[in-house]
Amino acid sequence: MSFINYASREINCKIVYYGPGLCGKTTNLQFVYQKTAADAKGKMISLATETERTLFFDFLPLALGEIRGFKTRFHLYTVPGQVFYDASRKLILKGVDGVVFVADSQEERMEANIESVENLRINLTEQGYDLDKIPYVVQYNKRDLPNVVSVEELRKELNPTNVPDFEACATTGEGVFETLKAVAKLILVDLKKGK
Amino acid sequence: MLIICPSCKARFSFDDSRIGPQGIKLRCSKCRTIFSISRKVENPAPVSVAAPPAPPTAAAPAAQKVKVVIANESASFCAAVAKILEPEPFEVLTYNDGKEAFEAVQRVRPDVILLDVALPSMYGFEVCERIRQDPALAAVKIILIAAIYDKTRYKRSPASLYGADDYIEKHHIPDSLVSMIYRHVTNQKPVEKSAKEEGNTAGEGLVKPQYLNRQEVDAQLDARRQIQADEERETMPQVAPPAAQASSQAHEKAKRLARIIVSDIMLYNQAKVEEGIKNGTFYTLLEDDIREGRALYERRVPEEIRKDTSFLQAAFEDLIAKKKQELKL
Repeated sequence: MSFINYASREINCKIVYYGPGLCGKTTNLQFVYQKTAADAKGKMISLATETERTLFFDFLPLALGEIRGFKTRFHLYTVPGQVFYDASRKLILKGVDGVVFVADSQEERMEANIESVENLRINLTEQGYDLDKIPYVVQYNKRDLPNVVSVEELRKELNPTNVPDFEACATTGEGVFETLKAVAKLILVDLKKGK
Repeated sequence: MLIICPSCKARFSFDDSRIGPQGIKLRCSKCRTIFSISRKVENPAPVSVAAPPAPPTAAAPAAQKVKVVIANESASFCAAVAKILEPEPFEVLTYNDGKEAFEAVQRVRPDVILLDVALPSMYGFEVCERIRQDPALAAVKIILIAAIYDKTRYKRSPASLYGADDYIEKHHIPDSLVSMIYRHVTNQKPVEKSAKEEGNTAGEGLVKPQYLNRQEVDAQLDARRQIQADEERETMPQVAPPAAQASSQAHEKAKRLARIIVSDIMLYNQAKVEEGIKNGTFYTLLEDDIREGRALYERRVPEEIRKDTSFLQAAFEDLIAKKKQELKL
């Protein structure tokens, strides 16, 4: 649910990067953060423990154009990917406007991808959302690695509803902005429809 | 009239006076698919006169019979496959043991061997490797029967066929095995790929369909049913009723969750995992993560599954064994 700040004339939208552990969610955010002009972004907050897990969230307000005189500000979050931090994932999904599912293209992570998509659907349903109705895009990350599954196979397993999907290599930034722009666009379309 | 095979899109010229009131069953002589036609789907389009000659797939290669060896532990499976191949000019030999099958290959030098992987006394891939090591058997084409797979798990095309020429999944045997054998004995490219390309009719020929009498059709259908039953028995070994199937699915999900928990622990703690395995302190060093993993497993997996199984423990043991192998311990 986007939050409208009338005082500052801003619409705040929440984008959550979801996916299995170490699939590159934080790397996506870090790349966006690095490439965004200093005056267009807020402070990035990362809550990591001593074992370098992304335990809570990364936070990146990012100004992107205006809708009817209101500026849009996107807040980008990641969830902890490890399978046992489900409570944190549920918490972070509250009030979400759009989701990016980051898949790890490596063959040995296919089961983790499938489990994570199922988990995303369940957690959204618990919050009263429907994955088939909210702005949602899929990113097949780590395409530069040698042991990757083909995009066709990934698509078949992880994107049966054919939402916009992108190949990426978040470490070099390839596909990162394409993914973000796609989900942002879907959110803006959604916002305009709602007015 | 002109008819088109629903599978490979090969076109046939056909005398429509042969179609009875019940329709007629035909088998495509190009891809061997059985299909039925009736007068309702009649297409009066005239047959092109400038048709190319029948493609080589339609004809049996040479006068002598194609020798096919089938090696599978199950005698009923071998019989069902033999029945599928019966209408062809093939000499079919069946074996239920890996060693026997290999000896037979050395003796009879078949054109094709259809080889299961899980064979008694010698595994299929060992048979495969032995055949490939023998220069006298270089001409033998090997088709592996894909190993039993778990339908609930992700699978992908095999990266290695142990030197075999092709592989086939059981459920594709009734429809694709014959065309695959012809393809290999005549060194042809797969017909499906070129023939299925929409709009590309240049490579299509006018070939005569084969007529099957009622008994032949029944025998084929019976063989298909046997193969299907065989596959279902193997892929779902203990259960048949829906309740039991649901329970099997729940077991598979529990196993998958266990594997993911363990793989996550390993991914996030690679140094600790290695150290723990080297020093035999794995469970102590990773105590916190293991506790969290166990807690999740207990929350997500129903008690009735947990009380009779130890999937999480098995997944840990599996990881330790694999890592030990990697580290050459």
